[in-house]
Amino acid sequence: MGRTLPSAAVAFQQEEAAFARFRRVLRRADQLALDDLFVSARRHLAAAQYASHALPFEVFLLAMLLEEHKEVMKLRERMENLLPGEK
Amino acid sequence: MITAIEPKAGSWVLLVGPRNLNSTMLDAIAHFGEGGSLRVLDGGNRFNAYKVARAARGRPEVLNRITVSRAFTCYQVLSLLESTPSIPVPFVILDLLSTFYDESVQGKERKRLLRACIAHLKRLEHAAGGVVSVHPPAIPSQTAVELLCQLQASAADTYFIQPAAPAPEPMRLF
Amino acid sequence: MMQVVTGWLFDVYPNETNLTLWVIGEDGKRYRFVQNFTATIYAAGPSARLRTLWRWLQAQAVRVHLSRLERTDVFAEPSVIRPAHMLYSGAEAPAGGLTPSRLVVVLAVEVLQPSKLDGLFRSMVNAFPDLTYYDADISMPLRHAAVFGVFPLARCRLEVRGEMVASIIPLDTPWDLEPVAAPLRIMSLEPDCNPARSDPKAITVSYGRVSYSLPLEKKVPLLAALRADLMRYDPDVILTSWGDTWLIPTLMEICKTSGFALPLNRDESQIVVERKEHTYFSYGQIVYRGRQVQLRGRWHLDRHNAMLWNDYGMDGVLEMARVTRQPVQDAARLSPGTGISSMQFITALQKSILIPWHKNQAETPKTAMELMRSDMGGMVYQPTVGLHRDVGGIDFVSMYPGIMVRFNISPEVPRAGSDLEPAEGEPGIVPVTLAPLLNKRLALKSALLTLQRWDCRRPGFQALASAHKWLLVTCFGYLGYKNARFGRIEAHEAVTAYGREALLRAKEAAEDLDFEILHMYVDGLWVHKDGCKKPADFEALLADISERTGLPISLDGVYRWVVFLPSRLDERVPVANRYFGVFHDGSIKVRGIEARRRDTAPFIAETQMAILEILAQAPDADHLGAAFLKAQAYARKRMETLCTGRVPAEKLLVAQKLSRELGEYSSPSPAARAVRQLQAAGKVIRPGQRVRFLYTRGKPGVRAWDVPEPPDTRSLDVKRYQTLLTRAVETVLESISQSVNGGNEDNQRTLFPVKNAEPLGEGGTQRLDEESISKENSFVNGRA
Repeated sequence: MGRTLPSAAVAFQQEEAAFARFRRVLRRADQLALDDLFVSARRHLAAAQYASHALPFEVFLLAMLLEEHKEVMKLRERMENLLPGEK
Repeated sequence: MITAIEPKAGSWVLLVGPRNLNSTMLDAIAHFGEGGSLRVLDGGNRFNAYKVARAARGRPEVLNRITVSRAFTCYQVLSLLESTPSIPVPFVILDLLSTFYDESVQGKERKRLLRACIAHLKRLEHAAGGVVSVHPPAIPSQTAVELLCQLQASAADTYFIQPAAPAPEPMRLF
Repeated sequence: MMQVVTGWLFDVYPNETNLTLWVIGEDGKRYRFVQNFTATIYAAGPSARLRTLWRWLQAQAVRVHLSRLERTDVFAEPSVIRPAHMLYSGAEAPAGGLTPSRLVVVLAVEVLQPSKLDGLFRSMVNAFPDLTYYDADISMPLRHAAVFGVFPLARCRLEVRGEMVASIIPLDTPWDLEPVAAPLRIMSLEPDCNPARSDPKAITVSYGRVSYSLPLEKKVPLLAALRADLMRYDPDVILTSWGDTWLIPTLMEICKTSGFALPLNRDESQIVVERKEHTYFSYGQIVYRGRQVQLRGRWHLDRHNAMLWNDYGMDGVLEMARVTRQPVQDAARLSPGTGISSMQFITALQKSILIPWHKNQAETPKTAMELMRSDMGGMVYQPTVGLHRDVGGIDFVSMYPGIMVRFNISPEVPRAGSDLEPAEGEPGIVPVTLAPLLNKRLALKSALLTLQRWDCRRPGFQALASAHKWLLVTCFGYLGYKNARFGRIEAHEAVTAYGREALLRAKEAAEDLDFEILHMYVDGLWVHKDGCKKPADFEALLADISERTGLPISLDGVYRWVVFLPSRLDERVPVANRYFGVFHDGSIKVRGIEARRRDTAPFIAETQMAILEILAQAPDADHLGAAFLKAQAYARKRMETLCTGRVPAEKLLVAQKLSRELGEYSSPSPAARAVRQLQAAGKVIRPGQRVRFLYTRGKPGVRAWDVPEPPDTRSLDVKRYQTLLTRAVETVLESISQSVNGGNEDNQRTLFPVKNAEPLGEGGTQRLDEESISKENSFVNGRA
């Protein structure tokens, strides 16, 4: 039907596969943490697609960072609830 | 190695190889784009812009110099060549014969269309030259062979790229 | 002497000299008329070649009338044409400039005997392959429909002299919601079993109140009885099962060997039209078209060879024919794509726009950056996985066709920017063709909303709605189709661009009103806001979206709860089109899970759906706990039934498509192995056809169903079915369990006492083929 450019989902898989050698050398626990990062980026495939960025991996990195920051914000809120009075 | 083959005004070059040749072609396209404008005709739905972008390290000035048009039937390939003006911009045609392998169009007609296409390649080669890639068909046929011969006869040079056998990684001790 | 006949146009086809028309008269008589008719092909090219063509045509035996004309080719390079009178008077061009036109000079070849056109065209192309041809392969019924504004089963007023039609005027239009129906006489012929499975022994003949069985071994009495029935009842329609592939060819064979003739055609001067089977590629998929038998003066419709018959039956087929103007026998068998194409041809013919024989139009060049921006499909979000309460399902109504009409997207219309503004100028061929269809669909949907549940018009209207839906769903894909005459990739991309923009504006409208976006998918979104449970609570949002986008939008319903499923492979990863939910009115919506996939065994699909029905009984999400336990108990019972061998074999049938020729498999899929067995039994299966089989223990692991010997039920691979059943049950219950048990891992017990998680091997992870994705989702043209 004329689709020439790989979809964001396919581009993502290709980028993930490109880091297979890097992943292999990591300790197992680190591998799992890396996997978590990639999984979190997958939540934003639609935005990556729409962004039409020439280098999709930059967008995936931004998505990973976005999810990390959300995690930080959540943790910060919980901390503030657990330790009231600390600013 | 492929990137050593540059378009030269006054002729066009044919590259024949397996489908994974396309990856190298896309790298070559990025490389040519570094040096100036480039026209790409995609005859096989193979122009993966992401690969080209990666090879060009994402630089928009390179990516904006590369124009691409896609053809999905052999009639469209001819139409595309007909409407391409002869200006001093080199051309790259990806997978030119892909749509010509479609057997719903009669062999005689496909050969006639290819002859007309070749006439346009001759017209377009003068200004800045070009490179054309083709891959063999999934199902071999006599017509496919004849089409390839037609093309070869008009190319200044033809390079046959062999599929590389995957070399086993030798274990390094040191 | 002039007579007036009023009735329904039934059949149109060429005869030796002109066209034959069959009309079902208001008086109940079946009339056969003839009508003089000419058809024109156009050729364009260098003047010298056209002159040679002119001389060549004059030398041919076929009678033609030749002329040199200017006609519009919407794909031609625009050229400024000065009106003729200005050329002669030497007058200056008017201040506003001249309208660029797309007129081309053509040689018009008017063929005076319709039946000769195809042959003449083939010779022309052979002799002059370099010329550009237009209006070359348009069928006679379509040309006739374009000229006179008629269509299959149009109510018409004819003026006739003897058997010659002097004039024909339609009294209704394809867009009428409730046209006066023609009194069709339908005769049904059914073999007593599926000929692919075993040899039928008898045929059941039914018409009116008559129904009886004719044994096949008594050939002459069979033919005699059929002949008598055909002559006495004189049916308009012969409705069969397997008539294309077995029944009619078999009857014709019997006629030949016994020397006995059957009046299958009403028009005995015509032969019965037979078309061979063929397989072809379409969008990377293999499509198989079985052989066909068509009649003249009568319709032969085969339930099993009619596209989408299960979807909309005879009413839908008649509506397809009506709206696409294709003859009913073609409309029944051809794809909706051909239907859209026919509709576009009618528009073009009526506007004197040339229809190119080949779609030559290639893409205008884009930069690599522009390609990255435009080569995308619909916007598909990753949903928030899990169970959600009180969710509004909002959909744009026929989004892509609506966009094509509202924003005037057509191959020949120059694009405006992407700012959701209609393109200027005359509406193009695509919107002009689609607009009446879209309007009829909307009118029908409104009508259906007002009808009571028991109104006898409902099923008929629903069949029409189904036919419209298929056409509209196809027209977008057709816009980008490489062989579509009026297709163009830029137009296709413009539609998706507008679609993405509209969806984003809808999202913004929702978020501005403090709704949470749970999921978005091309033309729909799922939203939630605390306190919004009733349709009225979403009114303001709908109005806002409609205003921001200029497109109609509606509430599919409010879900009591809906579950968005994660990926099978990693439950942290969301998946866009697998979900199930229950609306507040108790109805269930399911996408992408086993029950919706065509290759799932019926027993498993039914179990899954029954579990959903049980869950749907809970009055709201907070009371799912009790329903969950009930569903669990039910699932265990079903597993027991399976393990104790009490499930009939038919319910365990898996139906997979054969994706390539047997020789092309490096390791054969289960379907391929089943096909091998069928071949050994003398049956032929082509790529694209579905094959039914059971999973068995040991090698080869499958047992084809449609072979003569019944299967040995003791060899069933019960473990494999157990795994499939467990998976299907867990798909639904896992997420409910998490929500019911508060996500507490300790409370999650295994569903079944014995863990049956065995790897399934090849074929176990079944690739979703396009058909098993719901029809609404066929907007998505991305790759999996």
